[in-house]
Amino acid sequence: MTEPCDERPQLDRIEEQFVAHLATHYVPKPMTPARRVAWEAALWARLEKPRRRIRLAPALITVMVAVVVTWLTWPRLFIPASSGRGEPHLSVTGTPNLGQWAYDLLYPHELTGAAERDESAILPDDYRMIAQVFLDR
Amino acid sequence: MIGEAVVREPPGVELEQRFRLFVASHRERARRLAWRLVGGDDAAAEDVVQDAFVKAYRALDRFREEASLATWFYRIVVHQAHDYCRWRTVRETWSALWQGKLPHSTEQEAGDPLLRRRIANALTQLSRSQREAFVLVHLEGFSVREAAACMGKPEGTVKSHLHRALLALRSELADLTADTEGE
Repeated sequence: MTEPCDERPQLDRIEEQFVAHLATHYVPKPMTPARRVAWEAALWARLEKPRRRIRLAPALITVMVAVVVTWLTWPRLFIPASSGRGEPHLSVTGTPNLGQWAYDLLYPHELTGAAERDESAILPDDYRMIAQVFLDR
Repeated sequence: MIGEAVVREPPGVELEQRFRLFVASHRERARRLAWRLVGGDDAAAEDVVQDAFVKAYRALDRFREEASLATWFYRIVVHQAHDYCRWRTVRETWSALWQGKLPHSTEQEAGDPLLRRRIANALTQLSRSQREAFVLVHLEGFSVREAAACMGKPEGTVKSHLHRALLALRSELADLTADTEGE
C-alpha cells in the first residue's frame, strides 16, 4: 500500500529520539497464549452467532399500524370517562365548534347549569372588549 | 506498509479461512493500536479489536476496495477506539456523579507504569484527531497517506495534526525530551 510518494513527517534528531522514546515505553505487553486462545474463541463464537438484525422501519410501521387500528377499533379509549354522577359529558368526538368551546370555557356556569352572575364589573376592560367582539355580549 | 498478503489471496479459498488469516496477521498490531488509542487499557483494547473484527467480518460485503482491506479495517479500529473512549467518558462522568468516585481501571500495571500513565495522560489531552494522527504515524509507523485514509481526513490536515501533537507532547513531557537529549 505504501507508495514511493508517501511522505513521512521530517523530524530533527531530538524529535526522532523523543518519538522513539514514547514508542518504546508506551507499548502493551503481548497477550499470553492462554489469553489469546480465549480471545480468539470469543471472537469466533461471536462471528458464528447468527446476526439478529433489528429492522427499524418494519418495526416502526408495525407499531404505527397497531396504534391506528386500536384507535379506530376502540375510539372510547381516547374519550375521557364519565364519572356517572349526572355531570355533563364532554365528547372530543362531537362536532367541533370553536366558538362554543370558547364560550363554554369563559362561561362554565352556563355549561353546568349554574345561575349566571354578571361579573363584567370586576373584569378588566380589555377582557370586556374581547367578550364584546367575539361573544357578542 | 499495512500487510496486504491476505487481501490478494488465491481464489477459491473460503471466506472464513481468509478471515482467520487476516485476524492472525493483524491482531497484534490492531491490539497495540487500540491500546495506545484507549489510553493503555489491556481489556479495553482487546474488546475494541474484537468488536472491530466482528464489524469488519459482517461488513465485508460492503467493502468496495476503494482502500485496501487492511486500511479499511484499521479505520474501523480507530473508530471503535473513539467510540470506546466516548462511552468511557460518559460512564466515568455518571459514576463520579452518582458514587463520587471513578470506576476502577482494569489496566495492568507492569514495567514502568508511571511513565506509561504519564504518556497516556499526555495523549488524552490532545484532540481526537491529533491523538489518532500521532499514534498512527509516529507510534505505529503508518505513512501519512495511510493515516489519512484511516482517519478519513486529507493528508495536509493529518500533517498539521501531527505537527501540533508533537509540539503539545514535547511541551507536556518536556523532561522526557531532556532525557532523550542526554542519551
